Amino acid sequence: MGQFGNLDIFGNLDIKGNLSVRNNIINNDIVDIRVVDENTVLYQNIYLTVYITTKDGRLSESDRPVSWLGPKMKARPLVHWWISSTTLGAPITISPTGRNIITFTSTPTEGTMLEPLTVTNASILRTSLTSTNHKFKIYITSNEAGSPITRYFNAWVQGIAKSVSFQIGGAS
Amino acid sequence: MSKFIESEIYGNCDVNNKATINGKIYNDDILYVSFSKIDNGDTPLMDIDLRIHVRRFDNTITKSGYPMVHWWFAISGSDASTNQEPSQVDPNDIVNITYDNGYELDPTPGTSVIASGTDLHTAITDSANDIILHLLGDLADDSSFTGYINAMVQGIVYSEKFTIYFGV
Repeated sequence: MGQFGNLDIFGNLDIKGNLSVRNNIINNDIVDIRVVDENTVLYQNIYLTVYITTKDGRLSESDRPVSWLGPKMKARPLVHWWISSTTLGAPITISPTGRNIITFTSTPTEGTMLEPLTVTNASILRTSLTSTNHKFKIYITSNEAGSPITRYFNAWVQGIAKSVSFQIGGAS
Repeated sequence: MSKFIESEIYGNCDVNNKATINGKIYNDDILYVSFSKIDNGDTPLMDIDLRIHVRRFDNTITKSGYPMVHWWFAISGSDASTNQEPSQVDPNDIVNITYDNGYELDPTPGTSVIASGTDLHTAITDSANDIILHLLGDLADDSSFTGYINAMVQGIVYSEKFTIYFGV
């Protein structure tokens, strides 16, 4: 088969052998993580919404595609996530006092917490299933208001981890 | 630059700069999960194999190694909006669960008896890319269980409803 500079395919591409790409392959069905702090004012308690979408913002289309797999069904991304003090750092250890405290609601506003089912403040890797809109939303609490602190939301999907900073601990 | 509406390539395709695909790319090593339920034919029925199959698009197994999955039982499946969290299976319905094929990695490593579905389990498949769970029922009260088996591979969760009846 030939070699190309750019190869743009707007339909389907079926390759029975190998596809070698020496630079970038932009597959719009590989999902990406996007974390949005939707709070317009920095508060002691904030919502973070995590979107698991394709690069162009669509939902994953990884529904089972062929008959041998049974009825076509809606597939949803699962995410491991944790909060850290540095980019992709260790899960944060919760201390009993000060603004350096972050707690979570036991039930996400959107999506489902899979592990641990009983949420404690312990430093731990957490696992969530997204909603049918392929996102989940968590409520994070700092123990007291004051100067904002920067923390990092880290998420791992399809084997790749990504870290996004956010601020918490402003006006109560 | 070359553009295609649709292309099937049976050999190799080498792109030295960038490949942009706005449709789907059928990568034969993208994996999917399916499920099956097989009883051993005994009467009264006392056990069932619940099988988690991890396959490529063409129904063959991956050449990239042994798939690892998360799996759990829940009241509802991934197509629902609520109650997908791992749920307790009544020990009077399913007495215990063991692995016939594959291994548990977390929270109880090995193939021995595991808690009845309460946890999110992490397991690795056998060489056939299957996990076979052996569900032992309670014959005393002709027990039954209805729920969803959920399994995640490569970041995507698949689920299927199943019902089992133990006893006559």
